[in-house]
Amino acid sequence: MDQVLINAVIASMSCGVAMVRVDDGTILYANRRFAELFGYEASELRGRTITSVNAGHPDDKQRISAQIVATLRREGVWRGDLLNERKDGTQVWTHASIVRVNHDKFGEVAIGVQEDISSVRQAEAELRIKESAIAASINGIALADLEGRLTYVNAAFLRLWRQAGNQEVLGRHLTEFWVDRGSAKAIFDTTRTSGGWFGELTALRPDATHFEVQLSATLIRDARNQPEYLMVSCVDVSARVRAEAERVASESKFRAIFESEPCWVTVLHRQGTVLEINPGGRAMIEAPLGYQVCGESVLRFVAPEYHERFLAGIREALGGRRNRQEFELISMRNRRLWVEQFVVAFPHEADRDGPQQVLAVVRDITERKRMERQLSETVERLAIAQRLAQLGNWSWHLASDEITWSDEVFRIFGYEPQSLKPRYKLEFLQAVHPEDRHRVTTAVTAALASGEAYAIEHRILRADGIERIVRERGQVTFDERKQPIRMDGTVQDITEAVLAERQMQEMQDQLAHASRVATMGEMAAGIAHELNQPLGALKLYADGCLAAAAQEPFERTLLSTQLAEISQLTAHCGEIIRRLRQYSAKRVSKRSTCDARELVKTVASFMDHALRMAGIECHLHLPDEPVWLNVDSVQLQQVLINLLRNAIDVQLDSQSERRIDVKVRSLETAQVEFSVCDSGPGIPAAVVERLFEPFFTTKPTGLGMGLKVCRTIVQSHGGQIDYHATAGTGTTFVVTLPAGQGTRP
Amino acid sequence: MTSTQPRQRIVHILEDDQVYCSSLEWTLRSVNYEVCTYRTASDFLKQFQPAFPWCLLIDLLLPGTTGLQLCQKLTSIQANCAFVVLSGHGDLSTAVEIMKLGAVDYLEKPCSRHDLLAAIDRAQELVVRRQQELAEEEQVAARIATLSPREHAVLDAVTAGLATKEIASQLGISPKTVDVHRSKMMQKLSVTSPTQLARVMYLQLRRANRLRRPAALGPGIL
Repeated sequence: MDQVLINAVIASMSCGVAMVRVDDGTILYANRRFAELFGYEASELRGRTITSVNAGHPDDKQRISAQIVATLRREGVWRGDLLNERKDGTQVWTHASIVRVNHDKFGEVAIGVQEDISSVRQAEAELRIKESAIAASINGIALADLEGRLTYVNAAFLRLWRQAGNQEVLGRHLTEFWVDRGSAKAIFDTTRTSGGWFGELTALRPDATHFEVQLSATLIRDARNQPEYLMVSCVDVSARVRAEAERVASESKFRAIFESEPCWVTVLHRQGTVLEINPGGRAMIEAPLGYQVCGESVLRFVAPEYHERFLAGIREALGGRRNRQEFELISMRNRRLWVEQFVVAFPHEADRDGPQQVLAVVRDITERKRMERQLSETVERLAIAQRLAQLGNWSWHLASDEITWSDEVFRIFGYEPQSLKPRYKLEFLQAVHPEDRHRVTTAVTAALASGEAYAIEHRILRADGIERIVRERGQVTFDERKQPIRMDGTVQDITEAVLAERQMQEMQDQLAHASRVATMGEMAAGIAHELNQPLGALKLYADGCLAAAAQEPFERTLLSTQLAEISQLTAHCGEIIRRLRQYSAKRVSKRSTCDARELVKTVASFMDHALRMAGIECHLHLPDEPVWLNVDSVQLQQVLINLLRNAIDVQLDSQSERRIDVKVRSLETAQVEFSVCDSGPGIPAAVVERLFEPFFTTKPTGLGMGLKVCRTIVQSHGGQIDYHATAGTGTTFVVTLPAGQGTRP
Repeated sequence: MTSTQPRQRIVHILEDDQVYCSSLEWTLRSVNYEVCTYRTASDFLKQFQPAFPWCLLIDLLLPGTTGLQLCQKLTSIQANCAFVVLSGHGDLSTAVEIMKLGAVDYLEKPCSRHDLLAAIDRAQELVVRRQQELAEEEQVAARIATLSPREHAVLDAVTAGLATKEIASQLGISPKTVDVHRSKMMQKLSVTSPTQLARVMYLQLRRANRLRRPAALGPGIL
């Protein structure tokens, strides 16, 4: 080859070319590029040793120099990167190829071709840093080929997916790491076609757990801009997503509550401006459709007398004390509602000087207020009613012996209401009249033992010494172990009622007596007749005894028999007189146990004479067993006499058989029935209605009190009097009375 | 006529009051009367036979048929009854009524033993006497019934107070025949003197009166 051409080529080469004598490293030749590489002029290099030029980094100078020297002496080609120090002290990386050749002229020489590789070196360094960064990144980073097979994963990726090492994931397909593989595939396809994708995806671990990932996928292209890799960078955003989801949920919950809550939920500014209002609130203030409430002052809807307190409530809430107040709300239709409001501070991110808003929940309590008012009215009315009825209620706590008295009980016992804490054994029992105390404690003890309610009337001595009569009722309450814990009851001052009843009873007694006296006239004839029989017998016996006594010999036995007879008859007369006196006497009603049969027999004997005179046969139908009653026997005799008298009178003009049937029977309803049945003409319709009317009579000499008195007496015994009358078949009067106890006292 | 012999000293008591009845019974028995007691009039009437004489002690106020009603009934059938009436209460009009019916006595309760026994004795006496009278009357009537029509006509004429001749002319027979008839008639009537004949005629008249006026039976007739 033409030497000149070679020289020209060498001189213009982009590589630095130098020829160095192997023995001493003297530069025999360097082209211009070589000089430039190290910051020299080409002329300056001539005569210098290669080690002084291509000396390398000061730190490496010795090593490099030795290297170069060794290289120069070595046979063959040496290639390597060298760090050199340029003339101006900067460094330059070169790639050197050195070859030893035997020069015709200079002997053993080394020809070095050096290329500047500083930029490559720098790029390599940067790449290394980047690789470390990738490896150390907390983002999970994975590289995959265009097929999607993983070729690289960093530690964070392994951590995220909880994998121990590369080998377990490398080679697997990118889509395998997600819950929704379909979406993943779409994402990576997009990335391949459009170069990148950013978004969130739910990742799936081999252990089937999930986590939320923020994903950045990038298509990496090579130098020729051809797609080369897919890179995926992932961040675990589960916590944020969860928090976000919760925030959204709570926000929507709050919204839902806000929207659907019938209460008025509102956000107010500190001055009372409405910032938000829910539909419930709109309904409450009766805002017309489309009316803008927000921006108005809430005070518009608060009755003026509550404004000050309302604002104070807001201030308190802003100061951190949530509070409740009740006020009256005025709706836009001027309707007043009672509401209660809960206010609480409602902090906002923008508030720098503490909260400026409050959340207020306003609830309609009109109904509750009405109930409260009603309750208090009821309580008040109860108190008034108790006062009027002179009836109080009490509750006796057995364990502590304390009694709770209503106000009226205090008044009944002569105390100022609630002026003391009464106890059963002290204040109560001491107030009970000493003569009644035993009766009361017996009743209470029995009630405690049996659990049944008791009622008792007794006297009390009030604190001021006045005696009153009360009716006490009580009932025990048991706990779940059947132990008596409390006794509740009422006490009523019945003094007036009892006195009135006594007076009434007296009047009734008087009336009954007057009625008896009225019938005494005709009774007298009957009594005389009844008395006459034993008297007649007495007379004959006495005369007989006298006659016997006058005879000789004296018949002692005959005499004593007859005298005994006389004695008995006299007693019998006395009994008749006693009955008569009892019947006619002015007396106080007194009940005793007696046999209904005896009553009827006595009455029949009273009426015997009248029956005979009227030519009436009286038939008594009496049971074999005694029929006990607890009655005032005289009054009941009076009733029966009246009924018999009427039965006789209606038959006086009768042409047919004259007959009266008197029947006594015990009813299954624990009652005793007397019936007096005549065979008279029945009761005319005009008379029926007025039968029990006082002073109504059909008899010329009648008072018109008979049946009236009968009814009064029967009713006062808790019984009733009735009649069945059919024209032509006679009349039956029926008296029904409660049966008495089954033993004679 | 043994069946019509008066039963000696039986008193029938009608009294419904047991006590008083006993005292009456005792009193009567103490003077040796026999006593039968009845509670009601109907009880008594079941036993009653008109052919017998009855001494009765009756309470006015009996249940059912009263004493007064019973007395009226007994009187109307012309039984030989003597009754003493007892009353519980003095009632003048009833007393008068009773006495008109021929009661032996009307006693008010209580009555003394003496009054009772006196009345009963009288009633007993009456019923015995009346029984005797009835017997006499029946005897006379029976004898009269044996007379022939002529003898009967002669008896009637003699009773009317006619002399023999007058009778003969009235009957259109001879005085001699009249005497024969009279003699036979006296014989049949078992009388021997005009005085005895007059007694027969009296008894005959008394019987006729009794049968004609039943209510007039009683002591008043004597």
